[in-house]
Amino acid sequence: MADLYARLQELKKRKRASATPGADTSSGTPAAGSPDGAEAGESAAAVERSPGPDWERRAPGVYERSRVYPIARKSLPFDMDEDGRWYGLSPLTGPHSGVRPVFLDVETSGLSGGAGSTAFLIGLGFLAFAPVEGHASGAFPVEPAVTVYQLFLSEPSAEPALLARFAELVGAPDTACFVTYNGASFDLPVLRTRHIMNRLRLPGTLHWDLMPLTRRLYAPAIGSCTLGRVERLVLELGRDDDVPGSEVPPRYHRFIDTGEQAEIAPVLAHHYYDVAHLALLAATLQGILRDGDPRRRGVGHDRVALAKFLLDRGDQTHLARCAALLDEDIRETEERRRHVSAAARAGGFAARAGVRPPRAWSASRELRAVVSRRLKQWDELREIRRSLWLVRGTQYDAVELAKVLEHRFRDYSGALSVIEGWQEASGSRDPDPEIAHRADRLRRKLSRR
Amino acid sequence: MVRELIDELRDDRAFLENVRHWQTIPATEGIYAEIPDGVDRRIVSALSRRGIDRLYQHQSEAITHAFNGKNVVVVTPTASGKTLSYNLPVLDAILKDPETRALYLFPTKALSQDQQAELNMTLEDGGLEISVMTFDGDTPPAVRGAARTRGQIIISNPDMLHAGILPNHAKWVQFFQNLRYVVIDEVHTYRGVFGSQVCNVIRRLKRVAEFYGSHPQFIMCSATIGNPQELAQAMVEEAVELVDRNGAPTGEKHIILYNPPLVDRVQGIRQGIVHAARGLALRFLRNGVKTIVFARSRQRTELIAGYIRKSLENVFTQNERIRVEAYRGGYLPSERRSIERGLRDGTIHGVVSTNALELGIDIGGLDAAILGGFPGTVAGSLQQAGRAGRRRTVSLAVLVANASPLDQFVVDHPEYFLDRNPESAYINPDNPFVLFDQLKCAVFELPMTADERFSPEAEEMLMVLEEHGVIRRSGDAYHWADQSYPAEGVSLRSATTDNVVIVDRTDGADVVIGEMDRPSAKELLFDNAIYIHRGEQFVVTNLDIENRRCYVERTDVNYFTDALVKLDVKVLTEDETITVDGTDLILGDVLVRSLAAKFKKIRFQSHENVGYGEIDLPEEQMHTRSVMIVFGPGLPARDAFDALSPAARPVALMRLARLLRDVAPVYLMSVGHDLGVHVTVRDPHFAEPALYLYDRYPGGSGLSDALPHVFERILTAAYERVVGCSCDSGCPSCVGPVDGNDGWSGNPKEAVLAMLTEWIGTRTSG
Repeated sequence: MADLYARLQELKKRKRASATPGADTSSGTPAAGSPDGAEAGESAAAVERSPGPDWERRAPGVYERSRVYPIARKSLPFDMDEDGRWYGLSPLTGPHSGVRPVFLDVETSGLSGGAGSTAFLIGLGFLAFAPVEGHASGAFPVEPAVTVYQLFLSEPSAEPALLARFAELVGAPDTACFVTYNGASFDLPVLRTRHIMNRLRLPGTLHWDLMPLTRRLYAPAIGSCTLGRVERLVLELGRDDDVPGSEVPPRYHRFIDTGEQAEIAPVLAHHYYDVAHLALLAATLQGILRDGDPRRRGVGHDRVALAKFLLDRGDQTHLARCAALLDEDIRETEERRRHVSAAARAGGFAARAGVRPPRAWSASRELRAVVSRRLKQWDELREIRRSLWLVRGTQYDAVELAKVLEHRFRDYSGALSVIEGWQEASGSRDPDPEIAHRADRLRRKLSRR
Repeated sequence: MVRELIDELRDDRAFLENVRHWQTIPATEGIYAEIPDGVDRRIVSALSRRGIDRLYQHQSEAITHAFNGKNVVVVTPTASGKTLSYNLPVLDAILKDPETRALYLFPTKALSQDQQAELNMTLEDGGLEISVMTFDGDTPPAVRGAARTRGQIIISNPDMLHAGILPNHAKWVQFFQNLRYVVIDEVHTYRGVFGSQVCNVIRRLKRVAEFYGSHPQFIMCSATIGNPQELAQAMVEEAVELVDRNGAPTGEKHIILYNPPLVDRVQGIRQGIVHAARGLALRFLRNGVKTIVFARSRQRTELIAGYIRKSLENVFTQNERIRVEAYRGGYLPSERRSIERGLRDGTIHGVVSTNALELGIDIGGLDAAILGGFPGTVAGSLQQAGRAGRRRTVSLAVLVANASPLDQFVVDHPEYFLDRNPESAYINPDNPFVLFDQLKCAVFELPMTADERFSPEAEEMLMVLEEHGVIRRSGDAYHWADQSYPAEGVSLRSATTDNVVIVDRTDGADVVIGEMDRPSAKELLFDNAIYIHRGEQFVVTNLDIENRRCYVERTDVNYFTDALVKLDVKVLTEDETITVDGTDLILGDVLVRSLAAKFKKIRFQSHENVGYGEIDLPEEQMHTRSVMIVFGPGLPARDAFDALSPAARPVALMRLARLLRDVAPVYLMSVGHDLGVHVTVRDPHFAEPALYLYDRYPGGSGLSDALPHVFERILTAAYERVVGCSCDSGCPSCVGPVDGNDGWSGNPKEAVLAMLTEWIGTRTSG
C-alpha cells in the first residue's frame, strides 16, 4: 500500500501529459513488448484465453466442448424414451409425466458467493441413446450415454453470450428438470444471480437436488456425503488427480492471468466427471426409489431411511414396499440383538448391555408401526407394539400398546395389565395422572362388561 | 426536587466559586403545524390514537420536503420527536403502495433494536400491517430470507449494508427495485474516516439501486453541528433541504460549566474528574434527583459508579434506598436492557455511563446530567446534556472540566457551548486508501464502465486496481477478477485493520490482553517497553511486527518508558496556497516518516531519567494530507517568530503546534489523536520556519482540507487559551509545563504568548 500514492501520482501525470495535444501516445497500437502498454494492463484485455485445443469458440469469450459418457444399460432406470425423457423421475413427478433431466453443475470464480463471483464454467448433461462406437452413425445397436456440454467463460463481459447458449441448451423449460448435487443452495442461486446481473431470467422450472436424499440414504453408513465420497463409496467410481474445490477459483484466475492451460485442465476434467457422475447417481437413486437397489454395488443404502422417505411422500402405493423394507430390517436387527444379548449374558457382568436395545432396533419398529396403522394391519401393529413394550419398556410404549389393545381389539384387561405393569415398574416415582386416568377408564370399561 | 436542588446550589458559595458559567434556558412553547394534506388517513387515525393531532413545525417541514421528492436533513435536539419526521413519509408511502421499500441505517445495533421496538409500537397502536425487519449481524439465517423478500422497512447499519446486503444485491431484487426511502439517522457520527467510508457505501447503494431502476430519496437526522446541510450533501452527493428549527416545546434547563478547584495553581493541577463527578452525583442523588453521569472511559465508568455506591453503603438505611448502576459497552445485551428498563420505570436512580447511552437509546427522562469531562465535541455534549429533562420539566446539566486545553477552553467560552455550535464535520470520500478498498467492493457488486463517475479519482484508481490484478477490463467495463469477497476485508470503522495483538505470556500463560494499531505499537510496544494495562505493569519481551504480535510478561518496576520518535515530514505536492491571518497556509500531500530509535526510562513521581535503551524497528511511513504553515519573510507570523530569542524559537513553535492541535476539535469534529504535528525552524523544503498539521490517517480523513477554513478561529482560540490560563509558566491546560528536555530553560508560556501577541494580538484586541 505504501506505493499506492506514488503510483496514483504517476498515472495522473501521465493522464495530464496525454491530455496535452501532440503528446498523445495512447491511440497507436500497443507495440509488441512495449513496457508502457503492458504496465498499464491495456494489452492484457486484448488476449482471449482458450481453455484447450478441444474447445470450440462459440462467441467472443465463450468456449464450449461436448463429450459423450457411455453408461451401462443395466444401470439405467428402465423407463427412458429415445429422446432421453425420463418417466417418473423421482421424487418429483408421477409415473406418466416425462421430463428431460438436465444434469447441471457450476464452477465459480470465488467461494464466498456474492455478486462478484461468476459462474465461469457451466456443465449440462443430457441422457440419450447414442450409437456405439465402431458402428455406423444411426445404425443399431445403441447404448445409453450422457452427453456433457461444458461452457467456459474466458472474458467476464461475454457472460450474456454464455447465458444465451446455456438457455439454448436447456431448451424448452417446461419439460426440463435440473438435476444437481446441492444445487438448491449453490448452483441454482449462483445461476440466478448471474442471470439477474445480466437482466435475464433463469430458465427451467423443476429441480431435483440429489443431496438431501443421498444424505438420508447414505449418511448412516458413510457419514459426510460430499459428492466425492458418494462417488467413491456408493458408486465405486475412482478419479485420478482430482482437484479439491478450494483450488478451483485460484486455478481459474491463474489461467486467466497467464493463459497456461495446464492450470485449468484439471478443473475442466473434474467438472466433466462431476456432471457425468451426477447422471449415474441420479440413476442409482431413481432405481432405489423404484424397486430397491438392483445393482448392489458399493455401500448399501439405509433401508429405514428409504422407508421413511417413501412414507414422508405420503404416497399410498409405496406402503407395501415400506413394510417389506422394514420387516427385513426388523429381522436383521432382532438377530443382532439376540446375538449381543447372548454374548452379554455369557460375559456375566455386562448382562445389562442386552437390556437396552440399540436405537436402530426401535427406529425401524416405530416406523413399521406407522406403516401397519396406515395399512390397517392391526395384528402386526399389536405385535410390534408388544415387542417395543417388552424390550424397550418406556411409558410411551406401554400407553401405545394399551391403546392398540383397547381400541382395536377391545382387550381391556390386556390393556389394563400393560398399564398396571408400567405402574409397577415405575414405582411411585412421579406418578403420571394420565396413566392413572387410563387405568381408571379401563377398569370402568371392564366393570361395565 | 430539581427545583430545590437548583435553589440550594444557587446559595452555595463554595460550589459557585467553581462555577465558570451558569446558563438558564427558559422553557419554550411548542410551534405546531397541521398534518400535511394527503397523509394516509390510517396514519392520521393511528396518530390521533396516540394523542397526536398536529405536528411540530420541524416534523411538518421535513415531511413536506419528503412529499415533494426532496432529500432532507433534520437537525433537532434529543427528544424532539424526530423519528416521526421520517416514519411518517415512509409509512405513508408503504400504505399507499405495499411494494414500497425503505432502508433505515443507524450507527449501532443497539439503536436499531430500539427503533424497531418503537416502530412496532406505532404500527400496533394504529393496527397498521407493515413488516419491519432488522437485518444485522445478529439476524438468524432463517429470518434473513424473509427480510429480503418481505421486509418493507429494513433496519440495518452501514457495516451490514457494506458487507452483507450490497455484495449480495441479487438476493434483494424486490427490495432494490422498490427502494423509495433511505433514512440515515445520527448522520453527524459519520465523519472523518468512518464517514468517508460510509459515503462510499452510499455511492454503492445508489449504484445498485439504479441498476434495479430505483432512485431513493434520503431523509437524514443530525445532532446540532455547525454544518449539517454541508455534511448531508457531502454524504449523499445530492442537494439536501435543511430543517433546523425545532418546534418541540422544551422545559427550563440549567447548564452549568464547572471547573474543579485548582489544587496547585502554579503547575495547573486540578481536582480530578472522578472525584468531582462523584461528589456532585452524590449530592444530586441524595436530593432525590435522578442523575446520569457520563465518563470518558469504561474504566472511569466503573470507578465512579463504585465510588458512589461505596459512599452510599449503609445497611441501616438500605443504602439510602438509592440504586446506582454502571453502563458501558462490553456488558451483555440483557444486562443493558435491564438497566435501561430500570431507568425508565424509576427503580434505578442513578447511572454512570460511557457515551454508549449518548445516542438515542430510550431511558426515559432523567433530571440531571453530569458530564465528566468535555466529550470531545459540542454535539456530543449537547446529546449528553439532553439526557436530562423531559419536555416540560426543569432539568440540570453540569459539565465538569478536566485540565486539558480543550476542556479549559470550553469552560472559558460558554458561547461555544450554548450559541450556535461552531464545530463542523468533514469527510474525504476520495481518500485514495478508502477509495482503493471501496472501489473493489463496487466493482465486485457491478461491473464499472470507465466513464462511470463513482468518484473523481476513480479513473486512475481503476487502473491501479487492474495492475493489482483484482479487476479486469473486459468489453467496455471493469469486472471483478479475484476469488476474494472484498467487503470482508474492509472495515468501515477502524482506520486500519492492521492491529498488533498483545499477548500475556506470564508464567507460561498465553492470553490476549489487548490490541494496538501497528504504527502506535512501534512507538509504545518496542522490546523492553513498559506497557501499562488496567493498572498492571507488563514488560514487552518481543514485538513481532511481521506477525502482528506482541508478547509481554508481568513485571514490577519503578519506571515507565517513553520512545524518542524522530519525525520527518517530506512535502510531496503543494495543491493550494491560502493566505490567511498573517501567514501562508499550504495544503498538500506529505510523506510522514517516523522512527523510534531510542527510549528513555523515566522514574514514576519524580520523572527523572533513569536510563536509555535502543529500539530496533523499521521506519513507519505514511502518505497523507497536511496543512503547512509557512512563516515566509515579511509576514506578521514571521516577524513574531523572529522576535523570539533563537533558543526559544523551536520550543515556542512546537508548543504552539501542540496547542493548535489540542484546541482544533472546537471547530473540527476530531479528537486530539486525529491530527499530527511537526515543526522545523528552517524547513528543508520551504527554507523557512514551518509548522505542519497533518491527518494521522493514510490519505487524509478530511481534517487538513477543512482546516484552512477555520484556521483563523483555531489560532484565536489558542491565543485566548494562553491568555486566559491562570498558570505562570505553562501547564497541561495550555502550552504544557517547563520540560528540561527542551534544551531551553525559559518560560514556554511567555514565549508562545509573546509570539501570538505579536502575530495576532493586535487583531484580537482590536
